[in-house]
Amino acid sequence: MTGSDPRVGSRRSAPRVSPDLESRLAQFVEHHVLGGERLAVSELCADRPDLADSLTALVNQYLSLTMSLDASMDLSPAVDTPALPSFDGFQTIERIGTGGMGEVFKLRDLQLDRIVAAKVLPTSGNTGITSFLSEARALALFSDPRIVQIHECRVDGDRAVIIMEFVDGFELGRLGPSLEYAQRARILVDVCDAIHHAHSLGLQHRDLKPSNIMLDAKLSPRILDFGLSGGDPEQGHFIGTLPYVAPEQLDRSQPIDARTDVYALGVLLYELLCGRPPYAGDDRAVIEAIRAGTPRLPVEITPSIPEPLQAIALTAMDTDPGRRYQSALDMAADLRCFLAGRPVHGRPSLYASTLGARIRPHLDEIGEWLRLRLVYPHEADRLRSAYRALDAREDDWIVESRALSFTQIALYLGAFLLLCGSLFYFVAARWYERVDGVFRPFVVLALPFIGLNIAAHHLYRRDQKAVAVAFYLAAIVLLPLFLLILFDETRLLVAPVGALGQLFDGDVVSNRQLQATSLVACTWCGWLALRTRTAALSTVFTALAFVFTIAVISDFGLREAIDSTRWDRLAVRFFPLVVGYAIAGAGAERTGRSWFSRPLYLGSAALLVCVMELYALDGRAVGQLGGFSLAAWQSPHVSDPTLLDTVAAMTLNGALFYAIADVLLRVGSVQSQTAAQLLFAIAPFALLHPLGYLVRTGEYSPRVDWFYAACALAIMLLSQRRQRRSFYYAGMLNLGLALYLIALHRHWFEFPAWAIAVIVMGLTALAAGFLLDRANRVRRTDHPLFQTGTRSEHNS
Amino acid sequence: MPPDISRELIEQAKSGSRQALNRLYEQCAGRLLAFIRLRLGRDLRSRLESRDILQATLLKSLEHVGELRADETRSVMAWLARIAEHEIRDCADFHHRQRRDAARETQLDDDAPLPALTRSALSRVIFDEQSARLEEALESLSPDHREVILLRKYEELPFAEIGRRLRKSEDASRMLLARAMTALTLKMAEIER
Repeated sequence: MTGSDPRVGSRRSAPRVSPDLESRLAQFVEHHVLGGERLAVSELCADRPDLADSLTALVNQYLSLTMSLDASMDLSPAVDTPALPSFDGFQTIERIGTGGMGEVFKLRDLQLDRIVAAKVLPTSGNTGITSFLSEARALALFSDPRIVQIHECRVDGDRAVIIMEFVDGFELGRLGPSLEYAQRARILVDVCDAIHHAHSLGLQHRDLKPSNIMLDAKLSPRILDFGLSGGDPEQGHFIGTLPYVAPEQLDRSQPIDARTDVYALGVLLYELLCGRPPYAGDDRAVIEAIRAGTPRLPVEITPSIPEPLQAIALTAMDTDPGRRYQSALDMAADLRCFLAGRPVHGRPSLYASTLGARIRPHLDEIGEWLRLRLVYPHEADRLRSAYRALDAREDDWIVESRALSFTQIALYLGAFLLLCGSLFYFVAARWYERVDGVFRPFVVLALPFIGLNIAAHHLYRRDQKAVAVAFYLAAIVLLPLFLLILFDETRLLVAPVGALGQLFDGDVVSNRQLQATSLVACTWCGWLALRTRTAALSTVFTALAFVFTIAVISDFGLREAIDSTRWDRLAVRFFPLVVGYAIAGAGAERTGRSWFSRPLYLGSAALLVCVMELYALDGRAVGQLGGFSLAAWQSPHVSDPTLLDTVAAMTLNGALFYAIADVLLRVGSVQSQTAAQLLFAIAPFALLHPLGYLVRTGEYSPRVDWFYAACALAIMLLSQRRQRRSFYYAGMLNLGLALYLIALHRHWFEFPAWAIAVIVMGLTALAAGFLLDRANRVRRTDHPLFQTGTRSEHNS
Repeated sequence: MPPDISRELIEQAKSGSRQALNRLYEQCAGRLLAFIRLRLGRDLRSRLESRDILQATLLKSLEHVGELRADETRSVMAWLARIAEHEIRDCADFHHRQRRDAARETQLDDDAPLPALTRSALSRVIFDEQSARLEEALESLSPDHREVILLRKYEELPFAEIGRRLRKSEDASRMLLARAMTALTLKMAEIER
């Protein structure tokens, strides 16, 4: 400190002022300091008038110094702010803020000696002031420590004044970005709880924004401006603050409810996470963006944001109120899940739509790669189907869902067990006649059916779709078996005794009963599939449609065809269903129901394979279509005269499947590609297995097994040309079988030479592979493009 | 010094008006900076950033705003100077430097909106040529003279207190101030010539 400075005297004490002058100045200063009086210079210099000018300069210097050193409190008003209004019984301290709703002042309550805030709203031109005040009064009645208390409302001349609790703190928006994510989540839990409390009393905020939420020193939020709207769904449009306005507030035709506040809570959380609101720009752009509802993902803005919090914010911000949290309490619960380290339930629909939008350019790019021959067609297919798998809904059934969870496992296990149980019950009731009457089956099967459907209905409306779909599915397996038991017990739709053409013998199930049952189940399932838009129910619908078809064609000689082993007739009767599935699939796809079209297409393809193979049996296909037979070419000691015809027709089937798949791939729609893939996989097996059958029967010319092996080998080689892996697998499997059969027929297993020959063949294949590889290399090195590359290879 | 206005401002600041507090700061910050520089002296000034100390002082003062006494119209500067002296003592102590740095950084980095309040006051503090000349003149005075001016004109202490600090009588302190002011006037005249 200066006091302890050892230096004494001044460093630059070159006296330019005469001692005379100095002493006179000292005299002036002394008087000024001690007595506060100013001596006149003329008096001081009475004896030396020549010093007067110099002394005057010094005195002025002193006075200006004193002034500058003392002029600490020059408090002329710096800015002209409008005069503070006065309020009866209060001392106005300052203006805190000016907003759209009015001005806010900080006051001292002179009577109670406490600090309060006053919000002043002009009444002129504001017709809603009475209702506003009545709502403010309503708000004043309920107390929540997190909602700023209203002390008093008064209409004071041309202004309405609300005296409320003064919150000393900071706006959430200003403090938020410096807090830990967990702290931010905790603050929002409090806000959500408070909002829910108000909602439960019928009060909605409708103008939630960061500046309406204050944080006190303990980081507890306090919500301001509550009660500016009641719970009327017709009111609250076009009020609020952009961008915290929910889409339904921008559309008068849509009702406003508590979920509007949930939207604002989502935006609040979004802003709290990212440090900026989801939408910015001029009002029109923001309104457009709110309607579109595709904000940037917070983690794209700040990678450190925890994904669960992002999911919660985006779920709350869903444009469809039905997909948001249905109450602030739900949102608080999910935030608590995050804080407790448990997985959150919010799964924003934005994820799916964002993913869909981002996948599209990739799909286009795959098309481009294919065009440039950068990828093979089968690779392009694989890539496309991989991307399409991402498009699947996450709450879809276990076969198509993107992620497996114990929830799904349990749900579908439950549905499966119900199926098993109801089948057992049916067997016990119908075969063993251990259940009498309608009541017990009703309790066992129908009550669970109704209960599950009601539960599923509610769950579906509460957005728990995965569980709802599983419940629906489980319920559907109960329905047909109950109906069958019911029909039997009530003797409804029973076939007359001795009626012909019944699918089942005796009085187990009549055709009519089966038809009615499967029609009811099919219709119910189809309606549910359309409603829930799930592949699970669509698949079950496809299966039930098959059962219904069986029931219908049983009236048209199904049983007869089976009994007389006229497989071709059976096939012809099923053929309409193949076409029906395909048409329904195309129709569903055309109308944008892709979840429906896929099972139908797959059903169509699978049924086509069965039908065609049935049709080929007993050589009927060749006979009926071409009118000729290969029987003449057969050696006489083959027991089945149509064997060659059958084998030929089946082989042709293989080629047909391949051709259909190829056509589908070229001209088919997106969803029919799956059916094409199925046919592609089946085609080579369909092509080879008739030959294998021929060889296995062993009746035919022994040389056929060599032909079989050669065909298998040819199919394997063809796999390269068509770039179909299924060809390779089918060829290899059948080649192995051919080799086995060759040895079996000739009893070669005891000769090591056979094994050695096979090993030699293998070695030959390896050598061929090696030579081909070398040839490829040579060809490449000869190519001018690869010259430099090879040289550097040699060098290294 | 118009005591009515300052009393009102202090009253408002104490009842929590940020605007009032800010205006008080605006009034004091210039002299406070000069005071801090003088108190630091040449040696410390080269090592410590006086504006940092000023900011830290203003921040700390926010915590102690309740101690401000409205009846003493001059007490704002005295109050701030007292806080500044503590701050300087902390800073000057070499062994405490680390601690001080850490403390100051947490204060400055704190995202609470407190710095925003002092920021406008700080932005107006201009250490101009006039201030530099005054500082030079004050620094060339004898330590006694400099000290008495600091205590009286910057810290705005009553003479009784100054006398206690300088171990002099009250009157002797007054005389010392008169002599110091004379010396300062002469020094300023000399510098400005």
